[in-house]
Amino acid sequence: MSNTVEQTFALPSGFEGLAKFRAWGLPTEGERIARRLETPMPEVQEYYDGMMAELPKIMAYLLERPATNTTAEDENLLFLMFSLHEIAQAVEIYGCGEVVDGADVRLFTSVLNRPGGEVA
Amino acid sequence: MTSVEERVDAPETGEDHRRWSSLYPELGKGPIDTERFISEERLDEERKLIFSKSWLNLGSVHDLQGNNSFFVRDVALLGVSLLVVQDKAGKIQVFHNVCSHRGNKLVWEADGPCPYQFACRFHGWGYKADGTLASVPDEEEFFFEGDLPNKSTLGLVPVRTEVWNGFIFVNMDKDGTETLLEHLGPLGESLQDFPFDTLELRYRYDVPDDANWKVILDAQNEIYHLPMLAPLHRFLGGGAFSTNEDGYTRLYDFERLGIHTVYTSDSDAEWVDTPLRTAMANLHPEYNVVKLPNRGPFVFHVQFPNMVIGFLGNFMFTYNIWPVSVGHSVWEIRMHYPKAKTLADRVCQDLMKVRFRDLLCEDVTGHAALQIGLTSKARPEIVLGEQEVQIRSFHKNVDDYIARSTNV
Repeated sequence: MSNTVEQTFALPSGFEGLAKFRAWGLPTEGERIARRLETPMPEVQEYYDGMMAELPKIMAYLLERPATNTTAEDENLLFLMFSLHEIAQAVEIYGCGEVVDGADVRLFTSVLNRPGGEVA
Repeated sequence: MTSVEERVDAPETGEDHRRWSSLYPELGKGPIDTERFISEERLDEERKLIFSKSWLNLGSVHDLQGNNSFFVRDVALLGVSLLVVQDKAGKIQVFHNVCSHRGNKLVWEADGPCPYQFACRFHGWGYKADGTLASVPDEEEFFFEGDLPNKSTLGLVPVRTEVWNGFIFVNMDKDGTETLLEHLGPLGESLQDFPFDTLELRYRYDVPDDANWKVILDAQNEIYHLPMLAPLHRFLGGGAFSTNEDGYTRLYDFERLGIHTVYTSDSDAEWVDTPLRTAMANLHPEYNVVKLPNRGPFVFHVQFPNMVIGFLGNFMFTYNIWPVSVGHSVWEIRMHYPKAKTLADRVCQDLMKVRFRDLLCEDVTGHAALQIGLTSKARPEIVLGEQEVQIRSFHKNVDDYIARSTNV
């Protein structure tokens, strides 16, 4: 079995085009915050623009998917959305990854890590 | 709660200007002292006369993993470690998390399913979920005869425990007689029928905060600062919370509920959110559907002494602000949502979380700056305006509680 990167980051059918953003498909809040803080803003903007363009299609799909028994493909799509949320305020409010005039946002990493808690 | 216009003691309609001080003249209009935020003696009083006497919230059933599970909560101010246990039948009881043998801290894990017995790491004394001492290694070597003491008296020490709407409370005053419902008073009545059981806990933050616990609570207990403090505050201050024609926030309502308080804010009809959130509102048919029976987009209850039950749109946040020392606290933040039915609902939960989390991240810097300024003793008093009536009320409640406890 070949082991391409695309295969390790599977997405639901019809969303293969988002695989180019696989680096944003991060399962934990801590990882997403770290990437928000370390990624140069042009790359953040590119991700924001790319995801915003696909938003109607993504939400239409997720509205049909139940919240339980999530497949690995759906989970990856969710992680891409969570990363979009994570960087949206960097783009729309702050103009950078940090919370401007705020504390270190890494202080705000959910301590829940179990079924019913954060998806992790 | 009743809207202010419906209350018999309401000011004249349209009398927005300084309406709260006329509605609650007992709160006064003068400054309050800064010593209360920076003095060791004051914290000592609060420890003895408030936190050791009052019902305290330790979290909720959401912190447990169902029947036959536990969590541990260390309360630094009181120097206690507490073991919260839900037994197989669902009953919740809190114990001192201390082994009866040599006084060791019994359970070191934060939470989990109940083991067969809670076994002490020092010598292996084992306790059942109901606190009874079940096993003592090499028991023959002990003197469990008569009152030396008898083994049956060596179970875990229970703490007064009551559960209200899924929220778990303790009272460390073993001689106290006030029930939790008496403590909650009109706040409990106003939220008694709220559908807390329809919510799920998704996120919890335990944020170290370099400020006195009351500085943190005060900073959250008003919206006057919104248009000024930091970028996301300023964005939301532009109308996510009600503003007057000059752009200043206005409380929609404020009410004293016994020793607790509530304030509410509406939002401006013409306010426009960010592109992402505007798009999401258009793409998720239930994004703007009100699911919780709140009387406005923002409702903020202060449950005396150190808990907040707040609602913002369709999500509930709770704060438990735990003093550690005069100028240091832990700000526990939990976010709860109506249970997700679809993955699109999960997405909306996360979107709301990031918005709120970044907002509070801005606040943390503000808390620390306040503590620095207060600690400098540059001024002996702070000044409060009409839009900060909640803070005035909270400190009167604190002062009154200390005075009452002193007299008991």
